[in-house]
Amino acid sequence: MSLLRVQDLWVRYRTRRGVVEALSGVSLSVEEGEVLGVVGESGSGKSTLGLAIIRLLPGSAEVRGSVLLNGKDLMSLPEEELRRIRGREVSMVFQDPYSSLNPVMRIGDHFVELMMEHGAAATREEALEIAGELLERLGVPRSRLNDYPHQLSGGQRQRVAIGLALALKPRLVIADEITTALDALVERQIIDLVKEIKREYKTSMLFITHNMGLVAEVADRVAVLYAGRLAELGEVHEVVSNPLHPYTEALLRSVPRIGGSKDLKPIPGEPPDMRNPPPGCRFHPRCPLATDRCRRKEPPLVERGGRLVACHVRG
Amino acid sequence: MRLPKGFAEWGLVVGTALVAMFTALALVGEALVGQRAVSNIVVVDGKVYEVPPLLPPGSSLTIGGREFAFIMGTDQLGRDVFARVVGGARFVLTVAFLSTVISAVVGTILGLLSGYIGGLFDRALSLVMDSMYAFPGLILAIAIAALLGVGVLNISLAIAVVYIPSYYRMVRGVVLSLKSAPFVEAAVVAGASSWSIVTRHILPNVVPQIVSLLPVSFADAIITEAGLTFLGLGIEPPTPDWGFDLNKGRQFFLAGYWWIGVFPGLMIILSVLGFLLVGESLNELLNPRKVEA
Amino acid sequence: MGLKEHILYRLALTPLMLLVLLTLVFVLMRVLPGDPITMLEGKNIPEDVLARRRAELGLDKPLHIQYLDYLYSVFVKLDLGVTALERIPVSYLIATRLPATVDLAIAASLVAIAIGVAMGLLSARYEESWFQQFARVYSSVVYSIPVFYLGLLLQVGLARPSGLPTTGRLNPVNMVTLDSLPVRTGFVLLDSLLNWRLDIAADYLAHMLLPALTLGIYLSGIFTRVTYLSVGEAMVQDYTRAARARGIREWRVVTRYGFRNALIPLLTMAGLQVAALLGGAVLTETTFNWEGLGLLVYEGVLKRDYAIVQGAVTIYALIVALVSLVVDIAYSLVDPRVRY
Repeated sequence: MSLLRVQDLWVRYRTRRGVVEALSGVSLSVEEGEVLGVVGESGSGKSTLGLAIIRLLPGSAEVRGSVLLNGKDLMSLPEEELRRIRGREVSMVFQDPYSSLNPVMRIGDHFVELMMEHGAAATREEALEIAGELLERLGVPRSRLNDYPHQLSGGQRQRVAIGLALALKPRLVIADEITTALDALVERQIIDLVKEIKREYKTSMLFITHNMGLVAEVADRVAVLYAGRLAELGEVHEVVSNPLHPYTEALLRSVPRIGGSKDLKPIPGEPPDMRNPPPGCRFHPRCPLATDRCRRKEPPLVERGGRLVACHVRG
Repeated sequence: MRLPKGFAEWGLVVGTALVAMFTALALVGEALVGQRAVSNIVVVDGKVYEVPPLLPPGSSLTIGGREFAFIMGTDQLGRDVFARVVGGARFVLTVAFLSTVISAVVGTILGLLSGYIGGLFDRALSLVMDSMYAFPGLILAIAIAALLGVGVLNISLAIAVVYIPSYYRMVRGVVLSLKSAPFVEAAVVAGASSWSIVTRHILPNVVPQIVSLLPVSFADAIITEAGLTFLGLGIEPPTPDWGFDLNKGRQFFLAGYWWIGVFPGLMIILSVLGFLLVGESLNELLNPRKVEA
Repeated sequence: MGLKEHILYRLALTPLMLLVLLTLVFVLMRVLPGDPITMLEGKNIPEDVLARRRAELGLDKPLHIQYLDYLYSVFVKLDLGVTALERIPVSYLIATRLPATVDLAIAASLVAIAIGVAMGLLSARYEESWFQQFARVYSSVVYSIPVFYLGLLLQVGLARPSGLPTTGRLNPVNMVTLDSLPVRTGFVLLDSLLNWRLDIAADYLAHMLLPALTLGIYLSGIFTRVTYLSVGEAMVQDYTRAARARGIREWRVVTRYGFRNALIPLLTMAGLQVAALLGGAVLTETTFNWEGLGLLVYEGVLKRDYAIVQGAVTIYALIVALVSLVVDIAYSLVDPRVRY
């Protein structure tokens, strides 16, 4: 049984200017101990996916489908049980380190609050002890426990956020664009940290990003999302070396790599307006291989050589 | 044309309607109701009659063969409350208008100077303005009005002083943020004179902010004016005025003659609400706050 | 700059602000047109009497001497002059009146805070727009009602049916008794409790109910607007969402992440709130005949008594400077970014 199994997830937002369909029937799974990368542009629905799993979408969102964590459907759990699972069995690290920590709480207090809430520590001292060790292992000096978030650098704050996500040794960590707001050097440090965590703790991860290069480094399998639908899903090395879906191809071409081809081609066109997505295959307006069938009919997700791909031409 | 949608749009419509109504009242009201607001003497066919005091709303009298209706009753001196309520608009809105204009002009000029010149002048003036801003406005207005005496200009000045710091701070803030803006630096480097920089670059950015503050400022002025006249400052009877009448009505309230005070009070509420709605709705429509997820 | 340094810095700045305020008061009183003597005694006063009165008030000395005299008398002698008619020291008059205003201010603040917190909690609970509409309508309407009109409505609406008193602080019998009590602090509530006269305390509270409600609701007009906006803002921040993602229970999220962060913008408004409180108190005390500092100002204006008005305004300047200091210190305690 997979650790996480998302089945046919639909998410719609009611906005002032219409209904936006952020996810249209996405299914995927994450196995025990593996890292699944989720790649896509802005508006592809990848962040919505992460928030939907942990059920933290805003009230204006309508969700359908099932999310099974160890066989338990998170969609149908009462709020109180869900609250106990959050932080303990599944946790999340957010994109912006500058706004995801409470500015009026010390770093140590974040940990104490978390551990005492979930009963992982009996006293404040115990919690701080555990937190201190954890931070040291993540490369943050223990003395920082006494500081307020604004006294730490962006990279340190992100490490703290990762620490909070790992503190209770969850089965699954959702990492939502955790390096996007950091500069290149710090990003490198965090990615190395992630790889180390993967080696040592063997925690499963849903690694959400727009950067294909990072996915290639960190993930075991990768899911490519476009306009709320799954375009391709497979072993990361295979997908990267031999992309099937035209969108995956285009994504790979737009990532600069040292020693690679100098032929960088940005993807033509723009992501679709999700209030009114194109009919048929949603990528067809920007696809060099688009046929008439692509314009009319939505391509089904089929298996091709150990992978899943949704394309009339390549699938 | 479509129907207004949402709080901001409805607010603007309702507010503008109220503002228009009160402006009209201010301009022509007193002329329309004439003597009935200031005296209870009525002349019919050359004969002089006195209207009795404390008539309840809805009463009508036949005087010398003519029918007189007092839809809001009469006050303790026999004057038509409706006439007073309509006539009061002139004084109140004139004062509010004058004081708003004065405080806006003075505050803006001081803010521009302070922000542009900077240095010790700016620091000193800011300290003075901040202190004034922190001081209770009504009490400041009371002190000034008590010294200046009665009259439209005097009471307008008293109220204007209270709101100068608001305009000052806002304008100064804009000037400071613009001073380091690239397009201003470019103008300075290109040798533009201070005057042209201020008028061509800074002023256009300041004006929208001022305009957005004006309606709320007007509303505040009405409230302050009502407070001052309630305390008996700035006005001389028998000029009709809502705050003053409210105070007079107070004494008769508990005896049961509620209409003397209630109707002027309603006028205050409606006029303030009108300007407030216009100001807030405009702000909301021009600078929307909501962010979609 | 640590906390201590910050407090010391603010303490040094306060006398400066006080000086500015007092100078403002002085400029107001002396430089504006309008002669205080003729205001009081009319325009037909004979020349020699006018000259004598002016000398009495020190108005014949050069302006800068008057200024220094004024500062000296306020700070050193703590003397604010005497009333025109009865020759009572103004500082004494203010000292007897101030406690009543303090009581009213505290009670009104409690009312406003209660309403504000309720609004904040509702705003945290209900993200949906209907609540936002309601809160905005509430604050707009309350803002538009003059405080004395509100007082009037409450007098008629609540007092008449329930028999609550509508004027003064105590009924006449208790007023007399109060003067003869052995232990006196000047605060009616304290005095009545210290002397174990619970009946007087109850009477006082009954009299205070309507004015406190009036002033409190008036204050809540702006206060609730700031509260629901800042709490609503804090509740949609990333750090709130991250806390929920860690499974922190909702009550704690609302208080520790929502309200606690909303406190910062609220405090920046605190000084203005106090100013509104003081101004509103003048009108409320006048409406309910509550014998406090505000009513004293009204009486001073009515009687054209220059010394009372000047004295009262001076005291207000002192209060504002003090409040400014307290708010600033509180701000540095509440927002760690200021201290570290």
